[in-house]
Amino acid sequence: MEWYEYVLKRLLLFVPTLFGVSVFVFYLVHLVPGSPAVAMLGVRATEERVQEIERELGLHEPLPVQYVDWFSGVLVGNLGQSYSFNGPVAPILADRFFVSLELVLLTLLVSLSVSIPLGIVAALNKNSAVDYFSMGVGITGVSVPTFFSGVVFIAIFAVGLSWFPVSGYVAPTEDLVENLRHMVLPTLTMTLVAVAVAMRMMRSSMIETLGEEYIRFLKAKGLRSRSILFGHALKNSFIPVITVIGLQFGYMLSGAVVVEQIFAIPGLGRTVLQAVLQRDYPLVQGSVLLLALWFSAVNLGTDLIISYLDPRIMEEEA
Amino acid sequence: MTSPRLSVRDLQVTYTTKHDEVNAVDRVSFDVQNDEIFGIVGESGCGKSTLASTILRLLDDNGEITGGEIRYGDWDLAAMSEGELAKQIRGREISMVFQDPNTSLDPVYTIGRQLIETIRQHLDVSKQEARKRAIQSLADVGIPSPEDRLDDYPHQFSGGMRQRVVIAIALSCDPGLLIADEPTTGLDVSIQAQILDLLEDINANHDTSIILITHDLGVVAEVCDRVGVMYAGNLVEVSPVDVVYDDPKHPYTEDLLRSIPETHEMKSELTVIKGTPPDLREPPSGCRYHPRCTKVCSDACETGDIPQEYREDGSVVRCYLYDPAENPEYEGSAKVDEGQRDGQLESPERGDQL
Repeated sequence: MEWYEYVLKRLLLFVPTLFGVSVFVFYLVHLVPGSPAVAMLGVRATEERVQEIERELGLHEPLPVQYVDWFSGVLVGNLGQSYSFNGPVAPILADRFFVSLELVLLTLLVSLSVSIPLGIVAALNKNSAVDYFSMGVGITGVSVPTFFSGVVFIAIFAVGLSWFPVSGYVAPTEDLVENLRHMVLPTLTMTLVAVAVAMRMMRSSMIETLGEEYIRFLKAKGLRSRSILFGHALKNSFIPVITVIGLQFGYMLSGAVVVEQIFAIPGLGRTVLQAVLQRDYPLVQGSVLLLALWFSAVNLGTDLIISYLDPRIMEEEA
Repeated sequence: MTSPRLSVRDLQVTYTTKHDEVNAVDRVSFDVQNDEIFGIVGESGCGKSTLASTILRLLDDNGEITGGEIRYGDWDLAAMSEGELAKQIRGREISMVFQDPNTSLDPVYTIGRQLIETIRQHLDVSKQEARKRAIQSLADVGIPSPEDRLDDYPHQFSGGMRQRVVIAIALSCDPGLLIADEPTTGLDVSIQAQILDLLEDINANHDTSIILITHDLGVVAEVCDRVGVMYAGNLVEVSPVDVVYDDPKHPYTEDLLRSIPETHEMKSELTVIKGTPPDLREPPSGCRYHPRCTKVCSDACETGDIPQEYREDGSVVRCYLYDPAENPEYEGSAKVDEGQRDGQLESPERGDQL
């Protein structure tokens, strides 16, 4: 099987996945107890008023009918009307998505440029001071919860030193420099957690690879350590790390909710939280669908990258 | 007489663990002649693979050469720098093939790339030239339609073919010496024979000497010219292959041959050597084989530091049986030696059956 055939196959398989995800998301959201009508009107609303609103929103219909209504809209890009924002869901989500995406991409960029080299250095100097140091950094990073480290960063770098703004968000289209200044502390907070996982994975994968027989054979062929490391060991040891990075990348978008809350960033995670609290079904459905799609797409991307790097993967699938 | 291709003298290798030092190769000396296939046999853990790795200085981090020299041409491999070894020796003058072809190749690159990178590492040739050479190397080891297979990945080859690819890489720069460390152990029996034929063919048609490390005496009998027998880090006997089978000198060699099961004899029990190989952290004093030896001839066997090797019929033996000072029965002639052994052999015509 050629690589493009594999890609095509995986893309085709993606279609039923999307459908399955949409059904799951829809029913999951409707399992959440509480009615949007009650959330809108308050607990003292009369039964008639609640029913009236529910009829207005189409909530009196059976669930499958509601699903078909909703999904036929989704197919043409109409995710419905948000109750709490009083506007169409799609553009709201699009805005939030790109805000979160920027945060996640920046975090990924910073954390990988720290964790990958650190993991390699730690592997090459197994059980040395560098190794223990990087392990210490990693464990600290992953152990400190973001709601704490975020606040500490604000106290030091925003309130104390005034290097960066305390919170808020400026769109990059408005002012790129300000945008980045606002992103520094949230990115740092998220990076702290992300670094450890990728670094430890890179370290152990590199150690395992360097113990492989083919590394010895490469040495026996007369290759220099540098060519062995960068020409062979790196690619081989990076493949399992990609899976981990993919999972992190997928998870971070929704996992950013705490950080978005601390730094008052109008991202997707924060929107989902608000939407759930308001029982804003269309918005919850839309954003959960978006997150699920994002996760599936990142997973697909990860698999495609891995299959490109490791020819054995396609063989196993065939 | 021309000088040997490889000459190992008094080689000592020590592994250092947290608590112990393990003397895995102890004062080993041997020569590999031009164009010969030299076998090294021994049980697992006897130090034969360590010895093989030491020649190319591919020891694990905790192993080091603690004495002796390894002469190849004008070089002493034991004293060369890593950089010089990579440039002059590894893959260029001396190549190595490992036991398991499934793990010897980098799985994420085509075999063409792995061949060409070796060629371009050592020879100053263009990419096209290297590619041509790579195809030739594959053809030399009997890979059908080598041109098409160059862009295949290792997992697309069968085990036997993969070992051929490994051998092709090892031979791509026409080395003077090929070290094959149990090259057939991981393969089916039918494929084993093909790979051994290939090694003989390489030895005959290229100017390449071969060191064949194996635990299989049958393999040695089939392809080797001379053989060294290792026991507990010592090379106890080096003999021409027919001498080893017909008239083994060292008691260990003898016991080892006796322990080969014979397929035409229905015996209820296999003949085994009594006892177990020693723990090399605390090797026995004197001759390392003396606790299991049936021919202990002198106190020196238990306490002496066997310094010299005794020559006998073109063999080199590390045993006091061949020292007139320690063994009064020994008269320096092969005849006495014969008589001594006959009484103890279970099947005198054993050599013919191998």
